[in-house]
Amino acid sequence: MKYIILFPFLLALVYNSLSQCCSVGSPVGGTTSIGTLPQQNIRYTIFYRYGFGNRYYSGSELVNDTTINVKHASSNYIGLFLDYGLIERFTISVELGYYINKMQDWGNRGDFEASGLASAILFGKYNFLNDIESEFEFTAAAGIKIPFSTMPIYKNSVKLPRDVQPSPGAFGFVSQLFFHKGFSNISTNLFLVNRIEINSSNSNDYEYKYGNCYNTSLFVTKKIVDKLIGIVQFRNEIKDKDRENIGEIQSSGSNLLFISPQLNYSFGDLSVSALYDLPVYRYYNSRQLAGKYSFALNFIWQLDLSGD
Amino acid sequence: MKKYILLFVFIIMLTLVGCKKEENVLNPKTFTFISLTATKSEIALNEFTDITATATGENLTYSWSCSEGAIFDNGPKVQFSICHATTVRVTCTVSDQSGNSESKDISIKIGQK
Repeated sequence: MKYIILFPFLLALVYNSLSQCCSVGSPVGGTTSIGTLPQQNIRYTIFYRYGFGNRYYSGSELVNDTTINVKHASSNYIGLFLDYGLIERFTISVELGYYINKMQDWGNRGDFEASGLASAILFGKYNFLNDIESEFEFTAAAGIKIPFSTMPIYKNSVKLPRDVQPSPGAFGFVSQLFFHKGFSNISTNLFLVNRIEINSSNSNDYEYKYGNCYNTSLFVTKKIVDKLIGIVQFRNEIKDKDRENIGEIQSSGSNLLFISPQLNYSFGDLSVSALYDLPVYRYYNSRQLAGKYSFALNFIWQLDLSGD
Repeated sequence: MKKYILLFVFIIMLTLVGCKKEENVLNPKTFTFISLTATKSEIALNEFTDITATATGENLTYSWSCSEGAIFDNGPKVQFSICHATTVRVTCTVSDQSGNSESKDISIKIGQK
C-alpha cells in the first residue's frame, strides 16, 4: 500500500513558461500526474495555479526597457486529472485544463483578456517494474493532447493575441517516464520524471506550431512529521522555438531551471499540496517576457472502488 | 439496372457535395476589397503602425488577425504593435452581409530601429 500513498504527493508545474514574448503560462501542459494506480482505484486531482510576469529577458540577461508595451501578464488556471487503475499495472488518465483568465496589460492601451478550456490529454500509463524489496519503480506513459478548440478567440472581430488564447488549437503527443527509488529507512524518496510534449500545427491560425517541450524533474521527498511531507523539486524545462508557415518565431523557445519547494499534508484519503516556483536559471531566445513568480495549490482524493 | 441507377445517383450526390463553392451564386459579392496598407511597413519595437483596409460596398465587416503581436481597435482601420523583432503578417478579411468574403495580408517588419 505504500506504493499507493507515495505518488499523489508530487506536484510539478510544467509551465512551458512562455510561448513567446508576452505571456505567462502557455496553454500547453499543466501539472504532471505520475505513477499508476492499483486496479479499480480512482484518483481525482484538482489544482489551481497562478503565474505572473513583468520582466523581459534576452538570453539570460534582464532587459531594462521601460518603453515595453506589455507591462505585465498573468494567468489563473484550474486543472483536473482523473486516473483510474484499469487493470493491474495499467492506469488510464484524463487531464483537463481551464483558464479562468489569461491577460496582458498594455498600459494605457488597455488589457487583453480571455478565458476558456485549454486542452485534454488522454494518457495510458504502464508500470514496467515495481520491485518492493529494492523500492524501485519504473512507469512509462503515452498520450494524445486534444485541443478544445482549433479556432482562435476573437473580440469585436479582432483576434486576441496568441498569448492570451486559452487553447493551443492543435493536437499533440505526450510521453512520460517515471522512476522512483525509495529509502524507507530514512523516510526519503527520489523521483525522476521526464515528460515530452510534441505539438502539431494549427491550420486555422497561420499553421502555428508551439515548440516541443522537454521537461525533467527530480523530486526529493522527506517525511517531516506524521502526515506532513516536505518536497524539493529541481526542474528543467526546454522548449523549442515555435513556428508558423513562414518560418520560426525567433522570440520563442527557452531553457529554464527551477527549484520548487512543496509541502504536502494528508487528511485521510485527501492530500493537499502547496508549491512555489523559484527560477534559478533562465535562457530565452531573442527577447521574451519571463515569469516572475508562480504558485500552485493541489488537492488529491483517492478512492479504492474494488471493495477489497 | 436499379443497382446502376442507385450508383449513378450516389456519384452525382458525392460530386455535388464535394464541389467547392467558389461563389455565392444567389448572393453575389457586393464589394471590392481594394487594398490593405500600413502607414509604416517597418517599425521599431513597441512602435505602433496604422493599418487600413480600403473597400467599396455597404454594410461590410472587417475581421483582423496577426501571426504575432496585437491589434488594437476594429473596423477598417486598426493599429498594430509588438515587443520583439520579427516579421509579422496582418490579415484583414472583409465580408458582406450575404456571406461573401475576401482576405488580404500585409507584412510588417519589426526591428531595432
